[in-house]
Amino acid sequence: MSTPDVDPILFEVLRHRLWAINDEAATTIARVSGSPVANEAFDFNTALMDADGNVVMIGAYVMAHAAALDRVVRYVIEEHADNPGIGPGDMYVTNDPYVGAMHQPDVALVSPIFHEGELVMWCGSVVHQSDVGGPVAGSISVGARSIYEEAIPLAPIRIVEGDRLRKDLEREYLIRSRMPGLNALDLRGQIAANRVQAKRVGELCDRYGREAIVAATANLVDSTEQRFRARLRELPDGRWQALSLVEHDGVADEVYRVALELTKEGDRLILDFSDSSDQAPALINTTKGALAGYSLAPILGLLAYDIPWAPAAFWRCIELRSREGSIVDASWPAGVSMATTATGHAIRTVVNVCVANMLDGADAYADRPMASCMGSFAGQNIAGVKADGSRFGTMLMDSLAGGGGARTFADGVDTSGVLNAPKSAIGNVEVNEYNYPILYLWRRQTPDSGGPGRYRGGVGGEHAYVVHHADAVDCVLFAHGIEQPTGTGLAGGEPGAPNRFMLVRDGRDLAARHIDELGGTPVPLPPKGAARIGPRDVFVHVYGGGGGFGDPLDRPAAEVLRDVAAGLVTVAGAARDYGVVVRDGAGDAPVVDDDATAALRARLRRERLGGRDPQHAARAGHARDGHRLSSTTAVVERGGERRYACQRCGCDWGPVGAPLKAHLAVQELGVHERWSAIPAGDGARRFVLRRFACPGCATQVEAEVNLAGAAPLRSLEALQERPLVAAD
Amino acid sequence: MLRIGVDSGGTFTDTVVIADDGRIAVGKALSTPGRPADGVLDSIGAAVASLGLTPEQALADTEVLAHGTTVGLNAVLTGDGARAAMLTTSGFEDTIPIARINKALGLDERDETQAIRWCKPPALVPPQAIRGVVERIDVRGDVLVPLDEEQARAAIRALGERGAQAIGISLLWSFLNPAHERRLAELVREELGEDIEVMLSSELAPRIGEYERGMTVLLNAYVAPAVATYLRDLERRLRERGFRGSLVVMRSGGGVQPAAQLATRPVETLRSGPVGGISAAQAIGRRAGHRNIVTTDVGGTSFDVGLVVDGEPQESQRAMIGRYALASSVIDIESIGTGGGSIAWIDPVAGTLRVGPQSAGAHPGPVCYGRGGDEPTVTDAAVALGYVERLGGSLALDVDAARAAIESRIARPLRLTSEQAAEGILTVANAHMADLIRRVTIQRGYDPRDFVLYAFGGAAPQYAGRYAIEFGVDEIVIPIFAPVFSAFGAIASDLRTSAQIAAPRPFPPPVDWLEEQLARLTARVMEQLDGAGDPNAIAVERFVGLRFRNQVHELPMPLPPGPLAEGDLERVLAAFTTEYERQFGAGTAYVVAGVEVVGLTVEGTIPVEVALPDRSDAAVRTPSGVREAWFGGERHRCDVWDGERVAPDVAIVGPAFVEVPTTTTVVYPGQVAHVDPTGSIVLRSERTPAGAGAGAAPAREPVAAHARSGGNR
Repeated sequence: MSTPDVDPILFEVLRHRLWAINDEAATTIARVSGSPVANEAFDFNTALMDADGNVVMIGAYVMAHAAALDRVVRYVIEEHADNPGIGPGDMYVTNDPYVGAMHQPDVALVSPIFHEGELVMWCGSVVHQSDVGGPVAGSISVGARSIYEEAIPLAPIRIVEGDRLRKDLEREYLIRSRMPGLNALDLRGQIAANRVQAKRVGELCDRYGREAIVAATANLVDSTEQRFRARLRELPDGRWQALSLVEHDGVADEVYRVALELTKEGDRLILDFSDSSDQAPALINTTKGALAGYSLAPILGLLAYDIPWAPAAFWRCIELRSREGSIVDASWPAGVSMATTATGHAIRTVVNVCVANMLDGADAYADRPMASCMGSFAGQNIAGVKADGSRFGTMLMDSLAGGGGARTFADGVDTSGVLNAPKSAIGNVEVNEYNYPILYLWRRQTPDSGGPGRYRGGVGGEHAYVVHHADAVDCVLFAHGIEQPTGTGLAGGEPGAPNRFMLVRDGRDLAARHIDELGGTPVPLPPKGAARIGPRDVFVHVYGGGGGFGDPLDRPAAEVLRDVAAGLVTVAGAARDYGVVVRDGAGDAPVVDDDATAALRARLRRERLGGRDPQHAARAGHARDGHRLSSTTAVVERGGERRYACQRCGCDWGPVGAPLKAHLAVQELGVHERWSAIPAGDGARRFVLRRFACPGCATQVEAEVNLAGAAPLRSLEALQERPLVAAD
Repeated sequence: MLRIGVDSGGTFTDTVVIADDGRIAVGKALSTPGRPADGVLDSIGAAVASLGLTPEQALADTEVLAHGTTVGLNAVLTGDGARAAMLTTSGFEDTIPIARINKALGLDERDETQAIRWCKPPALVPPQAIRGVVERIDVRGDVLVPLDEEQARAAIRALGERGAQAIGISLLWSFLNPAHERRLAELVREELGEDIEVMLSSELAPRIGEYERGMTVLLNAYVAPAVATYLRDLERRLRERGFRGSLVVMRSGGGVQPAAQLATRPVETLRSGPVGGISAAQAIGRRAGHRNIVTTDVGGTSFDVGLVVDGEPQESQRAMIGRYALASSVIDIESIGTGGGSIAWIDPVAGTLRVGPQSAGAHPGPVCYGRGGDEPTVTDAAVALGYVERLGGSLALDVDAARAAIESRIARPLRLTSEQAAEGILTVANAHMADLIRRVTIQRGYDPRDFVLYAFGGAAPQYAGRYAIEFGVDEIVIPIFAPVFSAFGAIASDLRTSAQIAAPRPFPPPVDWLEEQLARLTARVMEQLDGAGDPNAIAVERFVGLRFRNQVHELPMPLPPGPLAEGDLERVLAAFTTEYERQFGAGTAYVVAGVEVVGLTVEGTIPVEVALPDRSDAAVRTPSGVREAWFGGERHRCDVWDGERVAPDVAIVGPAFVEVPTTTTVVYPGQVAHVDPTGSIVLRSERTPAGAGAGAAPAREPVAAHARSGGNR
């Protein structure tokens, strides 16, 4: 249904122009701000919205940011239309997560666009600030027990009135920050960006008429909605579950569940987070706005890859269910200052996994699933005084270099960061050493950190540094995924390795290039906390890998060998994770021992079946008489009954209705038994890795991380009540 | 005496010959990717034949042969470079594969939004070809861990056993203290012999940032053998044919340099083709008094835009070759995938007309080529509307097939006439192009009305009249040599070299330190220009790169010539603050943070003046023919003018066409063209600027948002 009064040629000109206008706003922010956050980390975004605040276009930067600006605009319309009012040249600033910011450091500025007195659109942007106040430098308030112990959010205020920046309100905003000068520059960038958008949209209205612009934006949303519905109709109906765990709330080492059940019916999606844990007192929760933003990011990148990124259109097809007072939908006064890298990443992970499993159910989309990238971000803020007496403080972004998720045709991209920030970058070692009193001992990719699979998850990275030209460096740590892995695999692929913080007391050795070469006393640090790095200490920081895809024992030995030669998998890891025995060949070049590999792989398959030999041989292709539920699982009709079957060997697993995993062979082990870097304390003992395999051919169907004693996830289930829609 | 410019492109190798008596010649030959020197000699032969000379006669009389080459770039794009290797500080061997985690920057626009398509820049060498050496230098240039020579020799031997042909060396902080890099180079030669190519990041790209610096030296190693071999081979074959002049090569950062010098720095030639176009615009603009120029080049699959501001091409803030980020200077050229070959299609859901990003490329090419293409392209639209009758002077075009494809695939489904559909295709393509020009200008704080737009390449003259108006400039120039503009740019470019150091420190630095560094850099520049031209003509300029602390925008601030006084630095600081706010907006100068020096640069230039043709005696005052074409939905009988013979004072009123042997310029309704005495075609709106928006010309783009106008209150 193309809107009949839209000229097909003019529409395309306007669509491209609106994209260019929004992009111009983004470059304006970067130019005016001049900050590394906006210019190198690209931790910001811009958006255009319709007159009601529905987001019709977002930039290609941090996706979640701009996707939730609609909430800010609606709040302003509802609360302030009369008092103090909404007029031409007005701009409202806020960093209130209970309105629409992701967390307090993300500052939003929205502005109405009027043309000849009529409201045409809204525009706005969000820029991450390095400090917005509160008790802890960097405003990630580890240890807070409520939002009152974090940076107190600024509810939307009309900081620009009729194109004039109010100095009193600007001061009220800046006074909170430890870096008011930087915040002021970013604010100027955001003001300039809004002005650019208003001016350019005004010019379009002058030239083509207001009605044409309004019609074009409406057509953009309508046609995007149609495309998205068409995409959904091509995918099988069904229900998928995923779970991501967040350990430690900054006060206590509690575990919180972020649980999603995704239902897809026809051309609708229901994202139901109701089964997630109750909210934490502070720090790690997300509000509903961040829930929406982080839910949408993987949908855009995995499902809407060729559809315009007009968020309003997607929300017409997606229902978001959550329980108020839960970790994903916190109620005031729960704190949320680490929302983005805590529950935000967990939300992104579970949506990624469910969407990928849904895609894996359709032959036509078989190349589209992607395992989760690094499932959590291990953050570190550093601060202190340099030898020359100057103060410093920053968030080190290096740990964004975790692994990407494996695909169905290729390994995950090594050290490539998160799905929801395509253009992010990490700084050079030299630049960090120039700005801060630290000296790196190494920064490299970490072998064995990519989730094993037929296609390996991308490896994560690691670095180590010592204090240099200062007496000490104080740091605040904020992470999860330390006591358990979070980079979830797919279709039998295993999770990527967890994050790790380590302070090696008295380990300073400038020639050391590996943690094993350091002397001193290694002290593992908890997911959240503070530490002082002294002059003799070494700080070691390891960031997690992406999830794998498919059974690791199916990975050709030659590919494992290639990884060993490239330093991405160790010889020990090749045997443990892939059943491939690698030995030194001539001239130190590694070679595969084929016989030993066959024997080891046979043994590992037997172990999956509790010591029994597989009865069937796995073969390529899939069950011929069934519907595809995933690349591992088919649903077949036998004797009038719908039953699960193995795609590899055709083995009948059992009836649909009972949980799928009840039919499979299972191995369970503690996460610290699998990842030796996880400290084997009480914290780690709460988590298990479960491997589910076909009882016939021993092909691994899923690797699940869960709480010990918890019922298995119903990751894949065929619907009982209705026949599956044939995907092809 | 002759000056010869040769540009090897993907398809054609173009030559421009200018004699000091004013004669000119142009030649084209097919490029010969396997043996690129053949294409160069063929192209020279074709050009000089029109002067009645043999290649030997011409070369014997040639003073300078200036060359833009794609040999290095082709090696990068096809993955067909040398067996390169790299030595770096141990512990940091993965700097190149980590690539600052870039997974999406520089990807094709279609892949940017597809998570499953994200990937790192393709590896130039396997991980085993990057070896760490034990050593460490810190932020002050102090040696913390001495170079472990035994370990280094073992690493070097391991690279030798892998068959390394060229080794790049990039150590942390080497640009502050190159001692370890230099010693390593000695060790490489001791272990592997004198023949192996060794290059140091501290010499090639002395800037802070180990990823970009390492990438530069690795790319250099990757392309060095091929480029060096090629340049040696070319020079030998030219000499065999009697050439006694100097062979110079176009640099990615602008200007030319003797081939022998660039053979060791081939990374600086990777962009030499497109930069030739900008240099040519700079040279012609200098004559015409155009200080600010937007350059536009419509190719088959892309549209390239560059800038000349205040007489100088603009450098990239973030230099990239393909997806590789570099630490050497590269003239900024932005591209989108909209060109003559872009395919028009109908969005089935929105029911709207789209153009690109799919392209018919050269094979099968547009429908009108008659080589099997069946999807209508931008070129087909221009052909269907009667704007182009032949292509590149020779290729016959199938107009009926182009019209039929537009009719069946676009016009009928949209219920338009085929002419409306064809004009719609051009409207959409031109809107994309205008949006890119805006991105390159307005988004960087420039006002389009301060610029003249140059359009070159074979196809731009057909579209410039539309995208330029859309974008809002008042004057469009289709320069002489437009179809072979990069080749002309090679001979019209100044001889130029630069030397730089990164030296991060607070501003102001001690004056005696500054003097010492500048003297060293100046000496290096003079050494490089030694024998390359008239030493008295060398112009030396010195710059200090400044920025506000914790900010990213760096501005090169000119330093006064001669010995520096204390007061000079205060003036530089004031000028920096003023210039910063001019570029980035009032209130953006973060003065409280303090200012720091990023580095120092010294540039040496020997200006080149080339004679442009003088056709002031051209006297034709009547059109050479008439052709039917469609504009604004109506069929017009349009005059066709011979661009080589029409008198300079004849006002060619659109709609009309100006033809020269290799391209056709479209003069749209509402525009007037003149062919100036040097052969450049100048298009203006029919009415004076006060009448902007009149006639068919749409309202022009207003002033830029910030910078110039200080609009950021």
